[in-house]
Amino acid sequence: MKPFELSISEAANLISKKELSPVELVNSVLDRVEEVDSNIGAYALLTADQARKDAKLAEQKVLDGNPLGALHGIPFALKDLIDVDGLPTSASSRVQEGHVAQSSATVTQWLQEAGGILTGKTHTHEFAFGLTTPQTGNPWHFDHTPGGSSGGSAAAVAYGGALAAIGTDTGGSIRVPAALCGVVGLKPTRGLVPLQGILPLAKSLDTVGPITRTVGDAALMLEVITGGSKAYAAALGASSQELSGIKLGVPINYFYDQLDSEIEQALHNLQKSLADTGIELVEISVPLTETIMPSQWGIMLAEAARVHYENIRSKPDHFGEDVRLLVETGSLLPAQDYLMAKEAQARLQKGWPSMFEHVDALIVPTVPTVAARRDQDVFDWPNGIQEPVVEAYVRLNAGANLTGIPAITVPIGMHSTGLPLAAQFIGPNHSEMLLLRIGKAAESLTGGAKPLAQNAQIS
Amino acid sequence: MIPTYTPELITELARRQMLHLPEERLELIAATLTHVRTFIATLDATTQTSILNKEADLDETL
Repeated sequence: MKPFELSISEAANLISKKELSPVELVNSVLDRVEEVDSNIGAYALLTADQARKDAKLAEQKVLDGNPLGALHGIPFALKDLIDVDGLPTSASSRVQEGHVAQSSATVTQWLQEAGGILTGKTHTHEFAFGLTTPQTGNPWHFDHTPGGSSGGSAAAVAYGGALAAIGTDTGGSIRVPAALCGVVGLKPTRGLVPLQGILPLAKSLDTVGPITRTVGDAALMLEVITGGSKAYAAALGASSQELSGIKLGVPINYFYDQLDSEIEQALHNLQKSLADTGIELVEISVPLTETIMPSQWGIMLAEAARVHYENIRSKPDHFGEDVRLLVETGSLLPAQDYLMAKEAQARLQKGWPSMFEHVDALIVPTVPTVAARRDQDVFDWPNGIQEPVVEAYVRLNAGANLTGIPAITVPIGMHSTGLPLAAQFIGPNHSEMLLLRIGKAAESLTGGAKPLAQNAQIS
Repeated sequence: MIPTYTPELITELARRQMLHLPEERLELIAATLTHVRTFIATLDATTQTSILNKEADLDETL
């Protein structure tokens, strides 16, 4: 196994025992990036020279016997919406040309204080306003999308171009790319991780969270980006075995309605395996699902138009066509539409907690089908329905953004097309620990930590 | 009832918002705004249903 293939916990363990040097690890990751990223396009900016310097310092700290942070010597990437002092925050947009951040985002500071080594900034769908990340290919199959908007982050983690990355999630933008690239993605409870220093998309829906190769690593990253307020990783190690008594809701409406048959089968198999561990499966009707998509659009369009108020008037030609159309349309949306969407959001925020009085969490698909081709606009379902790719990817995720609750996606196997399959667990506010425990069980029941994307070198 | 937006109506709305829209974009924006507003308006129907349900509950209580 090469160093870039290690999980964070494996690498940190070897570093602490002086069996792996941060220099060796960072060089291995940077070599991997050099080998495959010209094909995949995950990185918008590689900070290789600085990373090598930081790795040298990290190595010296180990040799000196200094206390080490949780991420000491671990290479990580940041979605290019997140500020790093002295670096541009491109948002993968020409609108940001010439921008240089004057300070680092809180999450950047905390990751670096924990000893993490920044390898670079990863591509996002422009301003996080989309689900495909056109600059980036899926490491499992280059002709397919990695999803978005944190597509560069998920792709980099999936091929070994970073041991972890940070993404943002406004309507599934961590979970969708993580699912499509076969890695773990955690959208925390809204407000748990600070958004300071991160370009917003829709301020009342935005969240920031980790993308990793294992559930254990997601716990570790969450611990760091919440300022170390809770020992998620240690608690996960201690408590993950005992699952009996947990009530896992299996929705009888909406979430399984329009779904690829192999994903459906994989989820049924996983449900049975989880039930065998002592988890109780409970059929449940999820309330107000018909309001999810219209309220998501009503809020996201209006709030994004507010964020880009100046830019859409001063340099509209600098936006990509799809994002420009959305921002222009949002700029003309009447206030009453936004308010109607906010009222619907308030109903969801009242209705979904009631559901969690009956179950501890939900098990649902993250995406209804595997990664679309990069030139694909719609999915053709067997019943004749055509569904836009964006709608298909958002519809199973946006509920967690509107209500603010946490959700985790975990890879659970491979589709016959050779693309990854995923399961999503959604819980009430601040149920991250429970979701990590269930996620770890799902990971274990489906073969443990998943391999790196093996086709990444094939263009 | 959501109006079907026309390029002329979009021009007027954009002027009020101090948003410059080139003529060749007006049709597309009109169609998109019509579509989006019609979709968001489905929330109105769900609100009405919810109110009616509450009224029915109230009737039963009475």
